Amino acid sequence: MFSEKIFYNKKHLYILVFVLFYFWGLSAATIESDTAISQSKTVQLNSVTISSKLKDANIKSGSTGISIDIDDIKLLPKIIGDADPFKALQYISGVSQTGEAKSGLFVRGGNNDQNLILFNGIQIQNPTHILGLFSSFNPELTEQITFIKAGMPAEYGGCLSSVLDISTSLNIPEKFTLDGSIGLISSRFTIKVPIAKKISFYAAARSSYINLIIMPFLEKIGIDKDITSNKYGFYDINAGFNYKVNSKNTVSGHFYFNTDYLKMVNIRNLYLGNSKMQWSNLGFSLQHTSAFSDSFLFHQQFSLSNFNMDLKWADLLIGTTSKYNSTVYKADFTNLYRLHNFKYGVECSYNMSFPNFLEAAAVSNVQGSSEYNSIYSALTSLFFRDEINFKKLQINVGIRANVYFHLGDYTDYREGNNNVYYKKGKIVKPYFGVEPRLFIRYLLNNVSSVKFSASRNIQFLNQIPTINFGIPADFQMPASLYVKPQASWHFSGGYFHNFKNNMWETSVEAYYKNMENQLEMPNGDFMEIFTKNVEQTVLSGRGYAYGLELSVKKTEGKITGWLSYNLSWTWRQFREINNGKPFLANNDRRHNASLILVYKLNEHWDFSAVFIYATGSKMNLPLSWYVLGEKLMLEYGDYNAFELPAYHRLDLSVNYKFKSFRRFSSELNLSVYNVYNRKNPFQVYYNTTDGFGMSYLLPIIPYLSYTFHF
Amino acid sequence: MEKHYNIFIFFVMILFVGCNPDLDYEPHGYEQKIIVEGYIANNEYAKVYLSLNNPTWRKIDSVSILKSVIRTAKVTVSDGETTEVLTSSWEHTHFPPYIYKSTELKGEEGKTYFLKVEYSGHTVTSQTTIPYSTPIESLDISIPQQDNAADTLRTLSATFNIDNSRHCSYRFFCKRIKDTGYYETPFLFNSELNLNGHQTVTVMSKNSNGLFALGDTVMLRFVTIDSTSTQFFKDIATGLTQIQSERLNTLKSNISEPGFGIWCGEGVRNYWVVIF
Repeated sequence: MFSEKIFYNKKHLYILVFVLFYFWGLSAATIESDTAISQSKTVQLNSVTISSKLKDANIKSGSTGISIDIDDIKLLPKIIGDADPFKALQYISGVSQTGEAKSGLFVRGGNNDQNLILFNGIQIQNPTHILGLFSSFNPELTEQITFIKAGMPAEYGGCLSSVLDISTSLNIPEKFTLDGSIGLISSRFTIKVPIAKKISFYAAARSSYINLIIMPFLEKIGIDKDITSNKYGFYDINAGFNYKVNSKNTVSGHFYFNTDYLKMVNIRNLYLGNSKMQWSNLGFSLQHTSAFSDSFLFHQQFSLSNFNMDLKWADLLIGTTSKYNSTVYKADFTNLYRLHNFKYGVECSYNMSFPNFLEAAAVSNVQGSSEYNSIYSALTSLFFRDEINFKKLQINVGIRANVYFHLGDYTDYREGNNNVYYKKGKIVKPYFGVEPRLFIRYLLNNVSSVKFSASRNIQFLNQIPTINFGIPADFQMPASLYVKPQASWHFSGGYFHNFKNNMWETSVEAYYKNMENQLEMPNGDFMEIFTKNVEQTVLSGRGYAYGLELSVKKTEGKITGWLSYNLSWTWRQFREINNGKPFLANNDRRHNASLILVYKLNEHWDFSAVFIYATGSKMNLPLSWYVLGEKLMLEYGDYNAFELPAYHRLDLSVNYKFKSFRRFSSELNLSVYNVYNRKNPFQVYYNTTDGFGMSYLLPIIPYLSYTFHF
Repeated sequence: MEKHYNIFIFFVMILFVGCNPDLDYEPHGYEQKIIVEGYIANNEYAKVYLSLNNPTWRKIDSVSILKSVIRTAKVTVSDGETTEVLTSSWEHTHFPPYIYKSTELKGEEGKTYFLKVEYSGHTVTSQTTIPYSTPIESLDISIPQQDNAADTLRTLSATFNIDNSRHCSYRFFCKRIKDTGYYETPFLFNSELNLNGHQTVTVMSKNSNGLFALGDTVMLRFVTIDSTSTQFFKDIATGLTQIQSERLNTLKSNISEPGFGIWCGEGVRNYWVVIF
C-alpha cells in the first residue's frame, strides 16, 4: 500500500506548502475582514465534536466520536484525589481495561501507541502519572474532550486506533479565579487571570510530596524499609494565554510539562534490581483562529513536543535513554456551503527520534551495541473532507495523503562492515500513503439511527514497550529504512436508540480491524533489543481484531450512569513467533465491562461508584520441565497461551459540597480505590524452587481531598 | 455506636482478608513426552538418555528428577543394514544418570542412523546423518593477555577451516585428566551457519578464568554437527534456563511425537594436548 516515490526537492515542497497556506489564510482574512461574526459562532465552527449537552447527540452525531462531559467526570471516584478525564475513557465501550498498574488506552484491539493524544494541539507521548493511576491533564483546565474510536475524520492522522483531543477554554474569564485541590500525596492549584478585556492568562501546577511527607511518616511508624526506601515523585505544569485580537481573530499559546521520577531500591519480583527512572513530556503550541465569515474559518497552529526517558537498572549498572522531538505546523480551512461542511488543510512535521542508547558499566557483563542511530523524519499530509448533511442522511467522506521521508544523517549498518552512510538531510527512505475515510449516518426516526464507517489509517511513529507495566519505558521507533509504517483498515457499524425522551441511550456496535506492520520485541527478552541495532532487530507482523460493543446510559434523574460491555478478539501473527501461527495479543480481552453509577442525593451530597471487570491478559508460562543436555529445561506451549485471572475492581466516592460563601465554594471528597481489596495480578512468575507465584501492587486505597474554587 | 463499630470491623476485615484470585493455572496443552537425548559419533558407540517431562506444578527436586528417568524402554538403533537393541545401565557422571548404549554398532561419517524408542505403548523415532568431521589445522599455546594471570597459566587456541556450503557448526569440548567430565567452550552460541574460512577459537578449561596450567594434559574433542542439531543446541543455550524469559517459538525437535529432544550425529576428531 506504500509507494516509495522520491521527492528530491522536499525543502522546496515544504516551503511552498507553508507559504501558500499561510498567505491564503491571511489574504482571505483581509478580504472578509468587514464581515461580522460573533465569538459564539467562532467556537461552534472551531469544533467538529459532538456536544453531549444535546440530548440526542449519540443518535445524530457524525463519526463515532464521544464528547466527554467534564462535569460528569468530576462526580466519578477521584483516584488519588483528582477527577480524571483520561481514566474515565477506560470505562467506555471499545476501550479495554489494561490490567493492574498499566497505563494507556487499548482501543478496539489496538496498541497503546496507536492513539493520537493532543492537548491544545500538542502531541502527548505520556499522559499519565503513578503507574497509570491518573492522568497528567488538569481537570480544572480541561474544557473539551473529544474521543474518536471509529470513522476518524481526515483532519486527524498519524494513528491507527483513536484520537483523544483535549483542549482548554478559549474564553476570556470575567474575573480572577483560583481553583485548588489539597490531598494526602499531592496538591494542585489553577489560576485564570483576565489581564485586559481581550487577553487572559492561566497557569496550573500539581506536585506530589510522597518523598517529603509520606515516606518519612511511614518509616517513623515502623513500615518496612524495603518499602519506604523506594522513592516516587511527579509534577506537572500548564500555562498559557488567550488573546482575542478582534471579533474575527483569536490567538492562544499553551505550555505543558509533566515529569515523573521513580527510584526502586527493592521491590520483589520486578527483576530490575536497584533502578532509577525519569520520564518527562514537554510541549508548546501557538494557535491562531480566524473567522472570515459565518461560514468560513481558518485555523493554524504551530507546536513543539519533546519526550525523554532515562532508565538505569540492574543495580544502576545499565542505563538506557530514549527521546523524541517533534515540530508540527498545521493549517486548515472550514467552509460551510449549503449542505456541505468542508475541511481541508495541510500538516507538516519534522521529527527526531532516538530509539535507545545503552550505557553499560564494565562490570555489568552486558555489551551495548555501537550501532546507534538517531532517526530524523519529515511528514507532510494534505487532507480534505466533506460532511454532507441531508435530512436524514449524513455522509462524511475524506482523504488524507501522506509523504514521509526518513532523512539522514543515518548509518545503515550492514554485515561485513559494509555500512552505508547518509549525510544530513539526504533521503534514506521515502514512504507515500493515502488514507481514504468514509462515515455514513442514517436517521431511522427521531430516536434511532444507524452508522457505518470505513477508514484507512497510517501511522509513522511507533513505540515499543519494554516493561509491561505503567512506566512509559518505550522506545520511540518511527518508520525508517528497516521499519515500515503501521497501517490499518477499520470497518465499524452500529445501531443507536434512545428511550424515554432521550433519558436512556443505548447502542450496539460491531467492528473489524486489520493492522499491518505491527511491531514486537524479539525473543520477548528486552536485553536483545538493548544490545543490538534496534530498527534491524524489531519484528514486524500483522494483527486483526473484531468485536461487539454494547452500551446503556442513563442521562437524567437522581441516579445517572452507564454500563458498557465489549466482547472482543485481538490477534497478532508474526513469522518469527509461535511458528508463524496467529496468537492472542497481550491486550486481548474476551469480556470487558464497566458500570458507572452517580447518585445526587441533594445539593450537598453526591455518591458515585465504578465497577470494572475484564478478562485477564495473556502471557507465556511454561507447561512442563525436563532435563536435557544436563540442564533443567522448561517447555513452553503456544505463545500467549496462558490467561491471567480476571481483573475487577470497585471504587466508591462521596462528595460533600460546603455552602458557598460569596465566590468561594468548596467540597470534601472521600474516595476509596479497590474497595474490596481485590488482589489483581500484576505479574505471574515461575521459579524452580517455589513454582508459580503472583505479585500484586494496588490494594484498597482510601483518599481524602479538599477542593475549592474562588 | 454499635452499628458504627460493626462498619469499622467490616472495613478492617476487608483490608486484611481482601479478595485473592486463585492462580488457577491449568497448563492447557500439557502432554507427557519422552525426552530423548541421543548421540552417535564416528568410531563411537551410540548413546541415548531418556526421561519424561514433568508438569510445572510438580516440584523440582532430586526425587522427582530420578522418578522421571526412563529405565524400561526398548531402544533400537539401525544404519539400514545392522540393527542393535541398546543395553542400559546407570551412568552417574551424567544427568539424568541412566544410559542406553550400543555394544557393536559404531558410527561412520556420512552414514544415516535410525533411532526407535518404545516405551509404555508409545514409539518415537528419529534419524540423523553423521557429518564429515573437520580437522583442526593448528593448536596454539600462548601466554595469556590478562595482566593478573599467573606465569604458569596458558591459553589454548585452535584454528580450523569452515566450508559454509556444508551448513554445519562446531562444538569444542575439553577435559583435563583431573576433570570428571567434558567442559564445552561457549562457541556454538556465537557461531552462525554462514561463517566461512579460517576461524580461531580460544578453548576454555573448566577453570573460572578458562585458562590451562602448565603440565595439564587435555583431551580436546572437536565436534561437527548438522544444521538441525545446531538450531536445537543454540536454542537450548539461549535463555531457556532463564526462567523468566518468554519463548517466541516452541523448540524444534527431530524426535517424532510423543517424543521431544535430539538424535544427533557427530563428526568427531579427538586430540590430546599437553600444555607446556
